[in-house]
Amino acid sequence: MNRPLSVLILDDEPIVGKRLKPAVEKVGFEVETFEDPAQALRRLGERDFDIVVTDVRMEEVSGIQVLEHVLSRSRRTKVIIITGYATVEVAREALVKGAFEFLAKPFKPSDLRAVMDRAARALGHPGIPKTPEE
Amino acid sequence: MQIICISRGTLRGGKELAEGLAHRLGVPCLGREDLIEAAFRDGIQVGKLETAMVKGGRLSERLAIEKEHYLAFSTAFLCDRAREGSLVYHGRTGHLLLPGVEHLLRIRVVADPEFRLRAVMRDLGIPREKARRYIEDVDEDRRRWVHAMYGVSWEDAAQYDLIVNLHAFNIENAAAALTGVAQLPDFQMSPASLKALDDLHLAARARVLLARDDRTRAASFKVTGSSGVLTVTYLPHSAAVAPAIPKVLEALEGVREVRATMAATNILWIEEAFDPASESFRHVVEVASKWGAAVELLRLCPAGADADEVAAASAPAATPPRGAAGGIEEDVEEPVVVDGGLSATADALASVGRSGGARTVCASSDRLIEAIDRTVPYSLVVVGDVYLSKGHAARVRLVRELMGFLGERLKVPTVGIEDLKSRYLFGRADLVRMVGFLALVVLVFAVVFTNQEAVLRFFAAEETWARVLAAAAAFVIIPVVAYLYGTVASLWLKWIRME
Repeated sequence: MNRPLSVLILDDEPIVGKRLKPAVEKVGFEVETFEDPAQALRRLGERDFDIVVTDVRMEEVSGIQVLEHVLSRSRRTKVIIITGYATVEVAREALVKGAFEFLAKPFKPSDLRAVMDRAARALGHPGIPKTPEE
Repeated sequence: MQIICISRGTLRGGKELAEGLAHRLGVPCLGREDLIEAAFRDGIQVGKLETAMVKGGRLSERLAIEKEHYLAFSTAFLCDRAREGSLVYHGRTGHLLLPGVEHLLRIRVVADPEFRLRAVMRDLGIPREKARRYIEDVDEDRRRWVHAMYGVSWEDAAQYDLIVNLHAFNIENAAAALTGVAQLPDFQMSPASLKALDDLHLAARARVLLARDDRTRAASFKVTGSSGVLTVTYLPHSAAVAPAIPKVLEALEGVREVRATMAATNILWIEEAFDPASESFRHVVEVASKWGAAVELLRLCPAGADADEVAAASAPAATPPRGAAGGIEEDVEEPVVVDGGLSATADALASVGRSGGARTVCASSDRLIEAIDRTVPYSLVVVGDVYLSKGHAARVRLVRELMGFLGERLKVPTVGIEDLKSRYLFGRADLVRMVGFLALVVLVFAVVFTNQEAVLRFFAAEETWARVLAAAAAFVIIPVVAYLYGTVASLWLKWIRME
């Protein structure tokens, strides 16, 4: 049996983590959510996550900085950028710096799960089962 | 009053040039960032529109409506500032938001590729190869953006009054040179330009109001304004929202009258299974683009098909409530609908600005007519592959009967999808035919006019037998020449899209 993938979700709007955590946990991932980028960076210093989901526009630390920090520690980690303030320039910067995917808000949790499924497969994990209840 | 729009790219110095020019002219400088920030605050999904460009430039039906809202908001935003006084705007293609406003000064800034490359490497802290890829990708995204938003080419030099190459100028000198240009009488606002600005402003504010109101926000509209009279054109499938239009716009300042009208040119395309990648789709879009028409899709499935399937496929594109919590929408599992490619084709049409709605009808031919809104001014009905479960001969007969039935009842030209190209699109075969017939016409004229005396003698002969022969010759030759000439003329008109 595969170990559950670890996911860190960082968004300075508390509602984002609150809504995404159960939606991602229900497909068998282990999720930690953060609203404070500094705390998230500390946690990222303590352990490597399989998938990191981060907002771009936050006070003090940007999602691009989080992306660079994560990839400098672990090239294996898949970083998914989520933002409502997307522009092609920011999206391209994130992608050229190694982001796995860029997701513009508003989106449904199922959209994020679909991206996470691809990320999981890219990590050699079988991905999200089609019917997790079974 | 002046409006100067500077079209800039990534790290080309356009922003610095705009700020320098605004400083010299003593006018405010406004950037695309200000516009985007305001649009975000207004709840417009600019991020969705932008990332759609990164992912290939296709807009779903829902995003196509969002595009209308964004463009109207942007026009209103610029008009608001412009009406307060002169301004310099720097962004992608601000001038395209103000069509019809003459005396705009439209400037494009370009820079040396090496300069841009170094700037990207420095600012983003990435190696040369990645910087090159970044610039190529962002430029391509911008090309897609301008094409998707305005249907024009970003790099078309005819779009601009001046192109400034900052490789040859430094920014300060370029700003000094442009200060002189901006003060030329050609770029000062005239009363006609001001009126155009006012009309655009009114129409844009009206479109924004329609996008904000729950009664009308999910529909597509084209809004024009002229001296306080607003004309709102809606698509046939949005007819239900028409009564709400005057109510939504009644409080708008500056409106004297609101005219809500249904789009006058519509194509009804009937198929059992649609495919946005098919040749048929390309032909229909080509004809619709030529006519400026919206295409309504009607999926005709056999009578007695599953009613649930019909209901699901016929439902309009769901629009989430504005300002979904934290940008996360409700996680509603959408049923997997087998809709014969209807939704994908509707999205593909929306992406090229030709969507006129989509629905599924499961009915026989005579019941089908009940499902077609007879008040819609269709210009053409296109019948594709239907009755797919039947054998070839039965299918051909049934399609022919359906076309005859629809043509007779709707009083609208009705064609089969396979005839669409030959009837309405100019192809290579048409070109060959036109050249061939034109050569024959020229030959006939050359023969007649280089032998005028002989021709006149032939037709002026006095003998009875000769007169009979001349009459017989005229009887045969005139229709032949008319046919040749008529064919050339009709093909020519088809070529220049005047059929």
